[in-house]
Amino acid sequence: MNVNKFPEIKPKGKLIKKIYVAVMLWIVGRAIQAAAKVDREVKEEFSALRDDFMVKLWVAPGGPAMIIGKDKKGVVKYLGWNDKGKKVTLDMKIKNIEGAILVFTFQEGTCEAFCNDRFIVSGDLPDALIFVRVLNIIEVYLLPKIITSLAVKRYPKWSQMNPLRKFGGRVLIYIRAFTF
Amino acid sequence: MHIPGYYEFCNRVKVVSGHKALDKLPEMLKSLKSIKPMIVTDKGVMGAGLIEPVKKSLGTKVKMGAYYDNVPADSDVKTVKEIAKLYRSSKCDSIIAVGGGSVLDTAKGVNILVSENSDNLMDFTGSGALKRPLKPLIAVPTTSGTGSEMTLVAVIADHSRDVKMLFPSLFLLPDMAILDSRMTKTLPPFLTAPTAMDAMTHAFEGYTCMAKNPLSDVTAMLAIQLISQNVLTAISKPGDLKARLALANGSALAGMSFSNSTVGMVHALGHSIGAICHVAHGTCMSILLPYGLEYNLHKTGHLTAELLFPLAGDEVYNRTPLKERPFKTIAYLRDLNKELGKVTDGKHFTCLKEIVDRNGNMMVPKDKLPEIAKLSLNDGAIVYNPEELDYDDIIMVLEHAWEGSPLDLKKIRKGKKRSKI
Amino acid sequence: MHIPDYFEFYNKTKINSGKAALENIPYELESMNAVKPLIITDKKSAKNGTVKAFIKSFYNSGVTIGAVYDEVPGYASAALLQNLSKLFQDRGCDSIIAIGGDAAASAAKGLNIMVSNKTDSLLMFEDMTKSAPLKPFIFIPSSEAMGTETSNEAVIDSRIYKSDDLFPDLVLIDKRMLKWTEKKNTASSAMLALTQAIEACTFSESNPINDAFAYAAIELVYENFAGALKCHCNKKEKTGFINGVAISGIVYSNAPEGLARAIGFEMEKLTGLPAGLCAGLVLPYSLDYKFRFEKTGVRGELLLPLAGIENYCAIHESERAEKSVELLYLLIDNLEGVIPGRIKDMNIPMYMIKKIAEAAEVRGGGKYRKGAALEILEHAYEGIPFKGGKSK
Repeated sequence: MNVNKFPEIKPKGKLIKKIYVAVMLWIVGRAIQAAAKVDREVKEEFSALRDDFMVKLWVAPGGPAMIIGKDKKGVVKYLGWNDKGKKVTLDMKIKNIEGAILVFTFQEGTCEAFCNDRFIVSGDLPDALIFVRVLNIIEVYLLPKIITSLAVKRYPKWSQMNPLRKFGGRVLIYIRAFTF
Repeated sequence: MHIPGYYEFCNRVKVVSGHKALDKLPEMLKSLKSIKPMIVTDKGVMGAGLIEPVKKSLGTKVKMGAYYDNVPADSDVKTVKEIAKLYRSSKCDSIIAVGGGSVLDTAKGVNILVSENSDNLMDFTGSGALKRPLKPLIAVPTTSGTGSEMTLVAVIADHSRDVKMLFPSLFLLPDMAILDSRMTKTLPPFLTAPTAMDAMTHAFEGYTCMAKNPLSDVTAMLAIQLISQNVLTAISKPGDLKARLALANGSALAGMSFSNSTVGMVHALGHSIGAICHVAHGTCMSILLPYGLEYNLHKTGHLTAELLFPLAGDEVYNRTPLKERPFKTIAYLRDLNKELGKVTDGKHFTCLKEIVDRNGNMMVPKDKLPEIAKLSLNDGAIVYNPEELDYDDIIMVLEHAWEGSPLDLKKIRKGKKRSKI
Repeated sequence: MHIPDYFEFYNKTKINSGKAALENIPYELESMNAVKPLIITDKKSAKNGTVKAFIKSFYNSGVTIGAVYDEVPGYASAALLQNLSKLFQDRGCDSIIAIGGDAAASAAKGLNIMVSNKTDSLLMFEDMTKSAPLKPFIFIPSSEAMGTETSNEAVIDSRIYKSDDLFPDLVLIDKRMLKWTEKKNTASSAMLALTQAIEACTFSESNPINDAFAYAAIELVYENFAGALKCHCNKKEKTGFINGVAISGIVYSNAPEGLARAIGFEMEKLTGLPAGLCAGLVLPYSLDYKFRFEKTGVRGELLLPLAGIENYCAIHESERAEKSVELLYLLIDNLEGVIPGRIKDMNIPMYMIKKIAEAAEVRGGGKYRKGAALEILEHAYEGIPFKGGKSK
C-alpha cells in the first residue's frame, strides 16, 4: 500500500469567528467593569466574592480570552486577555470556538450552555455561579429584550428592574465601556 | 421522546446486582488487576455487621491492604487526607467503599489524592481539574438513596472554611457498583423512607431539569417505578430481599439519570438546609420535592404529568384527565410522604417546621430561612433548574415548605417558554 | 418490573449528540490523552461530503489528523487491517476515529487490538483477556450505521471478536455526518436496531438497566424513523433515529443474541441480503412465536416504548403483549414499497430456508428452542401470522 496516498491533514484556522468572539469578550469585559460601578445588583454580587478574585473566560485552545479581577481596593477591573503574571482563581474555558459562537451569538443562553457542557470550570463553583448571574444581568443591559429573552430563563419584570434603571444603566454602561 | 439540541451521556460503571452479588468481588478485583484493596467504611456499617459479607467474599483469596472504618457522617477533607495517608503507607492498589453517600464520596476524594499523588483536594475542584483515569474504585452502597455509586460527583466538606466542595468529573465514576440485597436488608424504616425519597427526587429532577436527554429520561422513569412500587414493602417487611434489591436498582438508575442530567432547585435548597441546620439530606429532599415540581409547573408541567404513570401506575394515569395529571403527581407525592410518616411512627417529616432532632428540638427555626436562601443562590444545582430563582423566590418557596402549605401558583414569577399543561 | 436474581450491566460508551458535537472531538481526544487520530471510513463517506465536514470541524483546534483512510470496503478483512496498521504506525497516531457503518467500526476495533498489542495477528485475542489496554476509539455513525458498531463485537473476515473492551469510548452523533442514503438502507438499519433492542428486553432474564436503555432505543427508532425515511431533510428525526440505533448496540451487548437477529445474520451470510432487513422481516414472527408457544412469553411492558405512555395505559394489561406483536406486523406492512413484505419476495428459494434455520440453530448453540427457527422462517417466508397457542 502506498502510504502517501493518505496524507496528514493540518487544521486551518477560523480567523473571522475568533475575531468576533474576541470583540464580544472585550465588550462584555468592559461592560462588566462599568456595570460594577453603575448597577447596585452587580456591585453586590461582586462584593460577595473574595478579595483576590480573578476570572478568566476563554476559548480553547489558545483562543481569545477575557480576564476580570478585583484590584487592591476591591474595585472590579477588566484586565485584558493575557494572564501572564496574574493569579487566576476561576478558570472558565469554552471547549471550542463553535461553542463560543453559540454563546456569543445568543443561540444558547449561559445556563443552557452549562447544560450542554460547553464550559469547563476549574475553581470554586459558587464563584462561577456569581459570575454567571453577572453575565445574565449584563446581557439585559447590553442587548434589546428580544434577544436577551432568548438567552435567559426569565427576563426581569418591571418590579425587578424598572425601565429607568434599565435604560439609564444601559446608557451609562455603554458610555463607560467605550470611553477610556 | 424529547431529544435535546445537544446532550452528553456517560456512565461507565459496571453494575453487578443480585442477592449474592458480593460473592463476585474477588473476580471483579482481578478484572481490575488489583491485588491489594483497601476497604473504606463507617461505624454504622460496622455496627450492623455489614462488613461480614464483604470480608467473607474476599476470604483468603484476596489479601486486604488496609482498613478504615471511621468515616464521619459528613465527609470532610481531614478524613480524606487521613485515609489517603493510610492507603499510601500500606501500598494499596484499589479502594472498596462500603457505606452510604458519605463513605462513597469520601472514597472518591481519597481516590483523587492517591491517584494524583497530592495532598491538597482544593487543586481538583471544578469540572476540568482531573485529566486522567484514577485508581480502581468499587462502590458497595448500603443505603438505597444517594446513587453515589453511579454518579460522577463527590461532595466533600471543608470544615475549616465551612464550605462544601464539589468535584464533578467523569473520572470519579466508580469502576464498579455492587448492589447486594443483603447490604440494605437491615436498614431501619426511618432511614429507608428518606433515602428512598432521595432517590425519587434524583429521578424526578433528572426527568424535569434542563440537561435531560433520552437516556436520562428512561432511567428516571424506571427508577420512579421501582421505588414507588417497592418502598412501602421494604418498610413494612424489611427482610423482603426482592423489594430491597428493587430499591437498590431504582436508586442506581436514579443516580445514573441525574448524573447525566443534573438536579435543580430541590437539591439547591436541600443542600443549604442540610449545611445550615444539619438536617439529613433525604429528609430535605422528601419535603422539598413537591415544591420544586410546583414551582416549575409552568415550564415542566407536561413532564410532571408523564411521571404520574411510573409513580402511581397505569390505572391512575388513565383515569386522570390530562390537565389534572401534574397536580395529581404532586398530590401523590405529598400523600406518599404522609404515608411514610405513618409507617415510620412520625419519623418521616412532611414540612420543615416538623423536623426535630433526637431531643425533640426544632431543627429548622424560621429565622434561619434567609440564611438558607442566601446559601442556595450559590449552589450549582440552581443553574439547571428550569425556572430562574432569585432570593425572593427562594424565600417564598421555603416559607411554604416550612408551613407545609402548597405554593400559590399565581404568585410564581414566570419566564417564557411555558408548558402546554 | 422483573429484576433477575443476578445480573451484570456494562456500557463503556459515552454519547455526545447534537449541535456542534463534532467540534468537541479535539477536547474529547485531549481528555483521553490523545493528540493524533487516524480516521477510518469508506468511499461513500468520502464522496458525499461527510469527511469534508469532519475535517472542517477540526479547524482552529490545533489537532493534526494522522491520515484519512477512506477505502474501507463492505466488510473488514485481515488484509485491510495490515494496511491500516501500517498507516497508523507510519504517522505515529495514538487514537482511532471511525466514520460510517459496521465495516469501518469493525476495522477500527480490529486495528485497535493490533496496534495496542503491537502484533500482526488477531489470533490470540478472541476473548481479549490477554490484550493490553486499547487506544482511544471514537465512532461517528453515518446514515449507513445499523447498531452493530456500538456493540462490544467486531466482525473481521466473518469471525466474531467479543469483549467489553471493544465498545467505542465515545459515540458522536452530529447531523452533518448524516447525509442522504437509499431508503432501504435506512429501513434496514431501523429493523436491525429494533430487533436488537426488542429481543434484549424480551429476554427472560433481562434487567431493569438494560430495559431502560432498550426502551430508549426502541422509542427513538420507532418514533423517528418514519420521518427519517420520508425525507432526508428531516434532520431532527434523523438524529433521533440514529441515537436509537447507536443505543441499540449497547443494549444488544448486554443480553444474549435473540433468534431473529441470529437468523438475520445467517441469512446475510447465505444470501448476501442485508442482515437488518432479514432480521426485521423475521422479528414479528419470532416474537409472535415466543408470545404464543414459549413459557416465558413476551412482557407487556414492551408496548410502552412502542405506543407511548398514553396508549400503553389505555390498553389493558392482558392485551399489551399481543398488541406489541401486532404493531410490529403492522410496521412491516407500512413499509410496503420500501422493502419486500415477505422473505418469499426476496427471491430466496425454499430449500435455502432450511439451511438458514439450521445455521441459526448452530449459531445459537442450543440457546433456542429446537425447531423454532424453521417454524418461524416458514411463516415469515409466506407472510402468515401464527395462530393458536396462548392467545385467545
